[in-house]
Amino acid sequence: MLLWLAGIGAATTLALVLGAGCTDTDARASQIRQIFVRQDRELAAERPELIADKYAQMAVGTYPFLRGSAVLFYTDATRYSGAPALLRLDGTDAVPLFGDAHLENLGAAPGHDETLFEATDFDATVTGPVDWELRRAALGVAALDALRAGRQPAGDPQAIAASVGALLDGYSLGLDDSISGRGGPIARGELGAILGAHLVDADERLASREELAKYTVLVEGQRRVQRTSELVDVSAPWDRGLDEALAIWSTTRRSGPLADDTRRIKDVARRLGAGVSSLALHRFYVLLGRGEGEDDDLLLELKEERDPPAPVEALGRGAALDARAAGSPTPDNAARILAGSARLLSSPAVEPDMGRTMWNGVAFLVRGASRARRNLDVLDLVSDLHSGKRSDADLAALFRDIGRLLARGHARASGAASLIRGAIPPVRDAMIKRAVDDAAQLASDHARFVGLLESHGPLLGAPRLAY
Amino acid sequence: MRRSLVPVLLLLAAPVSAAPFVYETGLPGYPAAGQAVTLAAPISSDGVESPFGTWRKLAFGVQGDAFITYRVASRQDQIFTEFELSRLQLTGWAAWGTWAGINLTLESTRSSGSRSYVGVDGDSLLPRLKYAFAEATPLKQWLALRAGIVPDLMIPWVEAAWAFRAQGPTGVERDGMFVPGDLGISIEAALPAAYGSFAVAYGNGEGTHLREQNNGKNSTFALHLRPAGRRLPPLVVHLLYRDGSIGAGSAADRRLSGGITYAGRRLGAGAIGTWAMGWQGLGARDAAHLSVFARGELPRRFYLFGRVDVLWPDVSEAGSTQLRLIGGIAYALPALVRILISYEGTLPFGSLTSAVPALREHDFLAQIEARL
Repeated sequence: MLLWLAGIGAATTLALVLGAGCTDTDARASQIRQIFVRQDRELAAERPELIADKYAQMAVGTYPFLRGSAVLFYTDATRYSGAPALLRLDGTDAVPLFGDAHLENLGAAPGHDETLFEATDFDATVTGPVDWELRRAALGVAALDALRAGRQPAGDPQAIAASVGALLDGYSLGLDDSISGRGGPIARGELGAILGAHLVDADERLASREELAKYTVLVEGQRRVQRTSELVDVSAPWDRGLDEALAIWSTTRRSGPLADDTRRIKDVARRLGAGVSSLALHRFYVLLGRGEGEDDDLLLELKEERDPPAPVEALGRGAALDARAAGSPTPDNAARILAGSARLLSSPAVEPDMGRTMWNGVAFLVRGASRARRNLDVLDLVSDLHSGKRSDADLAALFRDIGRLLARGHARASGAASLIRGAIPPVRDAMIKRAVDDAAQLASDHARFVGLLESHGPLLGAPRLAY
Repeated sequence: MRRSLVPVLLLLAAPVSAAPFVYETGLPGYPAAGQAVTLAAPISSDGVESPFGTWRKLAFGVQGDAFITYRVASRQDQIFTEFELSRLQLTGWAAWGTWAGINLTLESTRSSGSRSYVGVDGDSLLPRLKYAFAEATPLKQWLALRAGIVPDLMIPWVEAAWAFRAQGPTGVERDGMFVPGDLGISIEAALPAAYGSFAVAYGNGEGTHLREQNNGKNSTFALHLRPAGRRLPPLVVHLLYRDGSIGAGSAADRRLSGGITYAGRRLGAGAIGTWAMGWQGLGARDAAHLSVFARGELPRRFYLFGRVDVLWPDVSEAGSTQLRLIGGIAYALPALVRILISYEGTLPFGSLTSAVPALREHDFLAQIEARL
């Protein structure tokens, strides 16, 4: 009996002395930290300095934080939270989504001889409920309003309501367009002043092939990729296997394969410091010679693709479906993105060099490193609004244009325009109210994130992984 | 052979099974007065005998499950059908008398996580360690020590009483109240006169699928009381408290759970209520869960089973609940295999009705369960 008592006593004492759960007191901060550490755990071990750069970028302001925190958004959006996390629009749960339609993932995309208003980043594309898309896009709009008002904690609720209202009006208009057979690219004349000027500028960049001037240099008559602090030499294993990777890309290229003799590799460099969410991912610039001279050279961007922030398994659909639609024998994330963009881009002429490949076992999306692909820039927009160069009406028109783009994409990709159109009005007010709340949540999450970096270090205290 | 051995083995196994092939407890069987502690035969609560052998003082054996499921699911306005290997579990164990033992249990799992688009070579089925522990019983039936990936202190008891794991995980596991195993140690001491046991577990808290993320360790205290002692050993009253945290952010992950189970050969039943203080990584969230189930063996090797799981994902919204109803029938072939046909409905109430993806789901399952 004494031994028995000793056993129980020892066990209980051990557990009590060695410690309880040691739980953090700020549950939301704890959740934010857990979500980022878990999402980035491999990259934090493999490329810690790049993850630290990414978190530092996100700390700069609410919009960079928005760009880097899609995983937090989707965690909230798929968790029960008292009030409906997402609004249910019956029959619209299986629509190809842009995935992360904030303002800086939208803008001009290069075609053969002109640019079009499109999404410029499909990294987060999945098939999912329409409300995910609208909530994320509304947050992007609301965050701009908060920036503009200079009141980062929340912004002006009335201004946010007006802006999100314009987005939803545009969305309904875009669905009407599709129902009436006008589901292609939005004509230049129908775009507001902000996007109109944006595309004119992008057209000039396209015509001048600005990427060659900015990223390459002629050395003894031969064009090479420049070497700068952001364009550096590649190291192993990226110094081999590129020929084979480009051969795969050529077979998946949107505008058709390139002949072998028109994809001669002239140079390759690693691109650093691009993007926020994807800052830690591999990105390369590859210069291809396509003729005798140097002016026909093609500069490609190869971007590593990883899992999307949305919980695709929660939807109960096979993860391989989208990839198979892109003709990939095995599902990978580049195939997912290629399939998603093929459904959602408004014209087959846009992004002619987009394709996918597998290089050293890593999935890459390939596209032209065109300077004509030009995202909207929220700081420029705010500056233009403050200087009077742009008006409130211009901004409302921009939000309507964004709504139309999203709606036309959804309708084109799903064929469910009428279904979606009928589902929007009953939840419109709730969507607007939720955007106001989301903007406030974004601001407080950003403040917590900054505090977490200060208290836990540049990697948020990620535990070391051993490989 | 299997049927004829069952009564004998049951006698041998009573009042408590023993050794590393038993997940509910690490304690050797409590002997009758004046008898020595002996190693019981490996037999499940509902009578499935697993092969084992002995060599001198060494006993060894294997256990295995394979559940093959054909599921017709109606969810999100779509009918989805699939074949799935819903579980493949293989255990190898060895015991040296009643002194010490080891258990290595592999289970199948999908290689991608809930936010992963792809895992290993797509989304392959892979084996992983579910349990891997060594145990010692230095004081005969009085004290058991386990270390490694040790079984949870609640789930195995519920599984033993339910005995239809083939249909799907138990409610407390599926709804995130407990995980089957964790890296750590457990210590269990028997109560006198076969009245049950008191156990303490101390582990990472991250379960079998994550390495440790924080400095907090989970401490679990469990009392498994057999109110009728040797007269009715399958009847057990459970009370459990866990103080714990999860994730790099050390989100609170505490549990208070209690209930009663009856794990008889022909009848099984139970009711388990759980209060979660911190749930699914949300430290500020209190959730609650109730699982009530029963199963019974009918003549000619037919079985009936049913279960109701109620989940309150946020107790501050008491009207928002998720109800899961399970009912089915099974037929056992003379050896190895049972065939299960069941219905499983998941029904949301309150604000959960508008959750996306939709929670409402109706599943019809046809399953083959092979147990070794």
